[in-house]
Amino acid sequence: MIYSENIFVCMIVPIIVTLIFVKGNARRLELNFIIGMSVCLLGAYVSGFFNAVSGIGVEDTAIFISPVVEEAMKFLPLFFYFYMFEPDDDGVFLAAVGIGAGFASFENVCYMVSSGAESLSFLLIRGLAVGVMHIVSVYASVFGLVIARKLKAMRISSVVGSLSLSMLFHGTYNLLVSAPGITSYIGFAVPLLMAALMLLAMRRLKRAE
Amino acid sequence: MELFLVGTNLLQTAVLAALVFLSIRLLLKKTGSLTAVFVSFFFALWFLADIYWLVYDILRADARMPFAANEFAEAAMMLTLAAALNSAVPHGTRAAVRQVICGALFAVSNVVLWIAWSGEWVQDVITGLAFIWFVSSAVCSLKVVHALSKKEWVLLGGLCVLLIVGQGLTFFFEEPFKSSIDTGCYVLLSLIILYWLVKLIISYKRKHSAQRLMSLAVANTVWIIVAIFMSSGLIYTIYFNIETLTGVLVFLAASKVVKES
Repeated sequence: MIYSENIFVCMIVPIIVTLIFVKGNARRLELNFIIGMSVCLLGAYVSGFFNAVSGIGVEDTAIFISPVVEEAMKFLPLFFYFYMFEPDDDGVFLAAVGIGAGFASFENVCYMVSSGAESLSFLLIRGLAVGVMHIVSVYASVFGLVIARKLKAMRISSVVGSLSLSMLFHGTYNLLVSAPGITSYIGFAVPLLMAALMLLAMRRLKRAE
Repeated sequence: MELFLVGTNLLQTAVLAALVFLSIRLLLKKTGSLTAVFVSFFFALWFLADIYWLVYDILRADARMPFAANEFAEAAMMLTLAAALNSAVPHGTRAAVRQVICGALFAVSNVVLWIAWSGEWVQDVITGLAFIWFVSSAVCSLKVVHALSKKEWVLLGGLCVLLIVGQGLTFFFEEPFKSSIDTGCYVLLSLIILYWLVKLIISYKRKHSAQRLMSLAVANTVWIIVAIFMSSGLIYTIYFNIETLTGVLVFLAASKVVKES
């Protein structure tokens, strides 16, 4: 058992203090980083609840249910920001990156506390794969929202579709890394590949403007 | 059989990859078209859900999956295709009240059967809500474009009732009656699939309006979803392959709508 709430408090206190000293986008990024960590903690509670209710076991909950819960938890504050404050595209992407990075960082720290931090090479792979995966998945959902807004196609279906994109990406990653061998290597490589593709798509979007 | 299923899934994934590419190209050609936006979204979701299902089939086919990303994606796919249809065939809420009520009742009956079969009520309720909206949109557009005559509506309604009653009876009868009823339901499902396909192909040949084609293609999709959820084994694999063909037909209808808009 790990005391994730204690880790959470220890991690956010210095970030909250720095919020006083920074302004503009830096402050926005830090705030979203804290939101990302908070939704990671809440997501763990919700996944734990579904684990108890469904009775499918911790491993299968992590593979099948966690992607749905975690992506929904990351998406909710982002959608609230997107819908209520109508920020520009850069503002939404900044928020998405902050939330994704906060979520991945807190999850990595909890993972290290529970499983040990002896193997640097494995932690590097995990850090790169999970870290990038959480950022790319939340980026994908926001990308869907931004495209829908640009093309004047904001409907419930676009919102659900955007969220679904990130869930599918996260779910496929979890499935791939759940089995040892070649599939897990493919799984670890997918987030990096997707990040490159998303960057290309973003550049194309900017050029189209 | 397992290998055959994976092969079938691979074929569908390859076809969907091509459809995603084509629909995005269509969207880039006509950026103002809502139908193109939603159809691209629909195919992208279907493609990713297929990849998810393929990986699941290969790595963890025996694991119980009470609720996962692909279930949510199925709901999203139905909503996006309904949105594509509603943008192609705009209609008011009172365009076809009687048909929509009957369609919604049929959808609810299907959802009840899914829950009774799988016992996974969370995923079935979430997918079911989207399915009810999807069926209602399909029925409404069929009525608006006058795709079916009065006789055809009555016949379709009767067959739907017969199918639901037949599937319901399988819970109360033991073998060998249960298998006979199941076989009857498969015949009914297949006949109606064939009916939609023939109607759609005739519509293409006669160069009917793009709206009519889109309505028929989506109605065909509704029916193939009903059939896939009601089948297993070899029949399921056959319906799964027809679903791939249905995807192509939906794309052709949508591209006609986009080009004419």
